[in-house]
Amino acid sequence: MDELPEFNRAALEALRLPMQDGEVLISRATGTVRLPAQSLVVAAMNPCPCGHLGDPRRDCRCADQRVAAYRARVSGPLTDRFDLRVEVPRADAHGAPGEPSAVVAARVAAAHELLQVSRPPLDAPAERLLMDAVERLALSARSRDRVQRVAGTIAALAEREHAAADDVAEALAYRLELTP
Amino acid sequence: MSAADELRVVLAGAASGVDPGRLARRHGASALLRATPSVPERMGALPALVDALWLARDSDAGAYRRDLAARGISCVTVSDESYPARLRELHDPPLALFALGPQTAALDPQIRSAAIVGSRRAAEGGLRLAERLARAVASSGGLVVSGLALGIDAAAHEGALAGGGPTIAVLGCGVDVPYPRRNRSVYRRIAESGLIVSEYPPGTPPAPWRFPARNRLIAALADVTVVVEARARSGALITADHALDLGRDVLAVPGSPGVAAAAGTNGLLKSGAGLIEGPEDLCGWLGLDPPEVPAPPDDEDDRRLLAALSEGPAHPDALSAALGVGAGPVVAALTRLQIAGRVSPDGQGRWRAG
Repeated sequence: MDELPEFNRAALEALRLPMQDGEVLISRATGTVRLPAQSLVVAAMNPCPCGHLGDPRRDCRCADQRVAAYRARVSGPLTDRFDLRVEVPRADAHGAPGEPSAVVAARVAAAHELLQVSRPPLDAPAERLLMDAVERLALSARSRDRVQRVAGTIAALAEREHAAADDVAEALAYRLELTP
Repeated sequence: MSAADELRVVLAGAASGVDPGRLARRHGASALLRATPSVPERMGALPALVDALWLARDSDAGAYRRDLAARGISCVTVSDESYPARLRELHDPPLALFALGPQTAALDPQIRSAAIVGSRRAAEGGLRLAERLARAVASSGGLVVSGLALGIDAAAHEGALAGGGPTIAVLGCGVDVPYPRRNRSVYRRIAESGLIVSEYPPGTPPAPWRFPARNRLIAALADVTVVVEARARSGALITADHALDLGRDVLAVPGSPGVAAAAGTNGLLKSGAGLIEGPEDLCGWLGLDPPEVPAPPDDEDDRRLLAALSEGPAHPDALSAALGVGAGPVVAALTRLQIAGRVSPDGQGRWRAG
């Protein structure tokens, strides 16, 4: 979903159930049906209506209220359901090329296979860090579960049997707040 | 002079859009109000002010004060005992001072106080220095005064709030008017934990001619005035002039020779202002013990990360490239340092120290 805030509000909010429970609930006068809707939702948005907020090379021309109104179109509960939220800065045209996609794909496939069997649990220092973070960063119960899952995925990608404190710290970093 | 009459004169001034301060100081607020209209006219009051004074003569100043109090706004006039002693040193002290926020104790002249002012369009380096200076003053028990303008002013208030100390914002409009709007978040936080003051009654809209006048209050409320970054003819230089008139020290942060953005501050230094390079210098002028520098973290990567961030806010990808460390470990380290209170996200995807 490109330009996420441009979608209609009701459509966006309808994403919450499939993102959370992997199903949709359709209600009609004759009854209600539940249908499976396992989904992987990938979305992108600009930092502000003009697209330049935070860009070191271009000045943003948006009034603060416009930025806030633009970002508020994506509600907090919906934001919460995106496990990974990252800022993507301007790409450097002359930068070094990243890792080849084929290598990443192989690593993801291996991790996926591992995760089908079990998700690496947190080790003791990781548990402590997560408890600290819940306190210091005021995480909701849902956020806590999500961070734990993402930390397990990071550990699986690195082929580790336990998620370490660094995995939890990395998972916590993928929680960009949309409120300016 | 009666405090109620002073308040009535201030309200008449606000209603007419004419500053009654000069006449009230010379003839007394009661004389302005209690005479027949021909008297203020002969004193040189403009017709709009004469009318407003006549209408205000029997207004209920007590009820007005109670209304303000119900909105959390206090009001002292120049004949009140609790009128800030620092403002009495002005040759034109405001007739009344309105205040919003819990930190009225910060007006105590015993508290060491620095005004931190400068350009509304300051460069990143100037903003960061203003923030560090303010944080050091606040966390070592001093007060930071500024004018809630964009740029250096806002950075100074932010630094003081981050340092956990009191900060006073002096406005050129009513204390209940969050202006400029882009600073309304810092306005709200100062109203919650600092003090917002103005000589104009609540509801007064911002007007360009009121801003130079409020600069004299900024200078008066501080022991020293620091100009962080200013062009020639910047409003911050007006604040510095007021500080000199009051016999207070003026300090300036040097800039590169010949750079227009630093022409104002370099000019101050040329004429003898104290030179400020960092928080230790400012704390020295104020006679405050500079805050302790927290011990560097044990981890080598964390130390390098903090060193890189001391140059300015940076995106994790840029830090990863600069330090030759993978992006994953970089964000993990940033989060650990965030939990330890050493770094924070800037809301635009970058991280900054502190």
